[in-house]
Amino acid sequence: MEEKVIFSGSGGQGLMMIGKLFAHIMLEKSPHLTFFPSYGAEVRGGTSNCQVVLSDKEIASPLVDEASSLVLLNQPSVDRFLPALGKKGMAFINTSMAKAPEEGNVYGLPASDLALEAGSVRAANIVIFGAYLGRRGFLTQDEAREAIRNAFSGKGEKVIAVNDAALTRGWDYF
Amino acid sequence: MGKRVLMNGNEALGEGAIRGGCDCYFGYPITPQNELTAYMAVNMPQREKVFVQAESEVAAINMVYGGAAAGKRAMTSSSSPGISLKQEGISYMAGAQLPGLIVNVQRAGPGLGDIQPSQADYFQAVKGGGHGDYRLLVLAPASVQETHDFAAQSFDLADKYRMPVMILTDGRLGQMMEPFELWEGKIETFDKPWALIGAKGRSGNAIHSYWGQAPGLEIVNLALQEKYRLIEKEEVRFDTYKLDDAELMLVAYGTSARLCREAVDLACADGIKAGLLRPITLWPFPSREISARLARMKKVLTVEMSAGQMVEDVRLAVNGAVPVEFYGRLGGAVMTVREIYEKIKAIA
Amino acid sequence: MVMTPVYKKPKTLRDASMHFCPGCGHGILHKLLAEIIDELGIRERTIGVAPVGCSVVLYDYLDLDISESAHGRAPAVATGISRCLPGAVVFAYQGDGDLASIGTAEVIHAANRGEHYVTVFVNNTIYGMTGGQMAPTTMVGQASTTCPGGRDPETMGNPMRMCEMLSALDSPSLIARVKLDGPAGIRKTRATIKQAFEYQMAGKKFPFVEVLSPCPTHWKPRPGKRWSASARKWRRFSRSRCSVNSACRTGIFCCRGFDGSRLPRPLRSRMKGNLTNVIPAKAGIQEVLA
Repeated sequence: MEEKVIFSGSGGQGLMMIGKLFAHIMLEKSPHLTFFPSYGAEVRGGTSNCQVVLSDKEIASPLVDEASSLVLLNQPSVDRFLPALGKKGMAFINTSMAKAPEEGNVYGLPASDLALEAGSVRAANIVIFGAYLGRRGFLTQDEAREAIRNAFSGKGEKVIAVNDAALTRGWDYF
Repeated sequence: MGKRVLMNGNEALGEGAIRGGCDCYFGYPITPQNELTAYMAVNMPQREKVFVQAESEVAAINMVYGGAAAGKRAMTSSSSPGISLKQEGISYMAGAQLPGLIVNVQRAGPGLGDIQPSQADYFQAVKGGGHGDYRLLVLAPASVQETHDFAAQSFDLADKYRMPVMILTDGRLGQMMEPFELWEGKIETFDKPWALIGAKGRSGNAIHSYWGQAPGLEIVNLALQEKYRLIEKEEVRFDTYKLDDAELMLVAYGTSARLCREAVDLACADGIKAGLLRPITLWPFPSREISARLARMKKVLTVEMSAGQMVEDVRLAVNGAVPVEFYGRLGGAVMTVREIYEKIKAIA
Repeated sequence: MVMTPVYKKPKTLRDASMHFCPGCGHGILHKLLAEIIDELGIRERTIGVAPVGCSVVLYDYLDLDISESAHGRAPAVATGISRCLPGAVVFAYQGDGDLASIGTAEVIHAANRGEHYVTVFVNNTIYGMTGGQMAPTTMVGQASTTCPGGRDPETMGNPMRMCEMLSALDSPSLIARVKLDGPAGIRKTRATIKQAFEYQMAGKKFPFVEVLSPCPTHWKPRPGKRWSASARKWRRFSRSRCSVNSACRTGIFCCRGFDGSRLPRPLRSRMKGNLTNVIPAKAGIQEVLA
């Protein structure tokens, strides 16, 4: 298993949350993994991002130079990270807030609008996370739903339902 | 084997220290080590241990001095500028022969510098930093697992030798999350007849580094040096990778050693016989271990996130036997595997 | 004839001849501490913290568990010890350069956290060990090697009033200023420090006693004259009474500065109006200068 993914958006869009969640989901599935957050002044500036690397062998750097996946929620993130996408990589872009170039490996979806339909615009991160997981095939849809349910278990049934719906909308989009 | 968990290096260090028997933690906020202080703020009181947010780095290290004087396993953590402030206290601990753990999650300097990772505090950690003829036992982890394990093991080392131990990590290792197995080793217990716990049925103990007149102080210093020679004999730790048939020896520690490992793989795939020696203890430095492996080497390459600090110790170990090259990035910049690989190709 | 001892060396005082200068207050204070610790029967659970300064070798004179601390850091060391040994009686012995200059931050924060240890703050208005330099508490007009023309408040500031400063905090349970001047002053010093130890043993927070103490060496007495100018200033200060003493029923430490000047008007009027506004009711601050 080899995956180098960057999750990026503006602060508050929940990119760190899905990055950490992804790392925890993959803890038992990937022999080696790293999660690396952007920290410090960078967090207060344009983008908030985190990077997850999965590998069968030891990981030298938790920083991604050539991404196999990009999950981008706003325009500054697209501007900054799309050039780092590898030839065989996939980019998932929130077209509610950014322009997705029409290229074969770029998957645009209106994550914020889909999240609104699911019950809350705040779930845009889960919509795009669903699309990413659905295309990437690291886990089944049932496993993904279970992970989302667990991640929001302390927040009440209503929040779980919204995020479950958001995940499904993203997963089924492509 | 302990349970496999996922935490960042700073939190893993905190959990390791607690498992290693840490009785009291004293800290002050500074990035990029804040997760450690926050972890201790939650987890020390839960386990009925002492946590105090000190008013300054200076106060924090002196609280460690107090806790250690009371016979407890005491620690503090900070990042580079904060460690500079602690130097006086560290020197006093060394002088008074007090054990304790000091963690430096290195960031870039000089001055306020930046919060990005760096290895430019090697001199400060290894060559002194504070005043006087003293040493710290310096451990340099290269993974979250090692960060956790070394924290757990450090108190035994500190108590065994009655001296402060430093864990020298950096912003990348501190911020990075990586799976690791929880340390479930056994803690050694050490008699501390010197500790200040109340002079019950005995004359009062004194913890001090002041020795009034020169003869006494020289004797104390000679005893310290004797202890350091013993540690140099007993406690050197290092790791090697593909070094057995190598002709180019890379020497790197911590984050840069991780990068060198992959660069060695790339070089070997190209037919370049490269290998890595990774010092784990920066003091005592694996000098003999380096010099013993020079017979087949054509060159040595030291890689650091600094202008070249450890490379001085490497040159002393090599002692002119083969050329020693250096590659470094400064001011919070971290080299890529590709950069190291290009350097290897250029000199091989 | 049966002889009964009426006086003997306290058990906690070691059999050592002290290095202090003739007339120095430290020797008296060391003995008072030893007597108090014996009286309270707490020698085996008392931990002392010594400063950097003339009293650095406290452990050579008191037979107790004692730690030296870096200059000014005694409050941090005492914090570390007392947090780790909740049942112990911990005290820090600090001079004026140690506590009021290089260690100002440490003492204020230890006081604010309400740490459980006694502070004995020995104020002799000068750096003794280093050879008589200006201290934060040096009196206006008092000469030293670093203010040879006398302390000038225009450029050197006025003497720091640590009791007054610390009394602005809520945590300390006792703040008192006493003096080692004459038998009555010494007796009061003893009683007050003993009270501070009792407070600490009762779990009350941060009892603090400032002890005005003479430094006959660096006050530079002139040949043929009994008191130097510094000593005269000190005596005048140490005998000065609270300017609103009649209102000081709950007790308040000196309302005059080291130079005998009055406190700023706002503070004075607040004191006159309602003492409890100035000093928290729970704090047993005392006027023991007389």
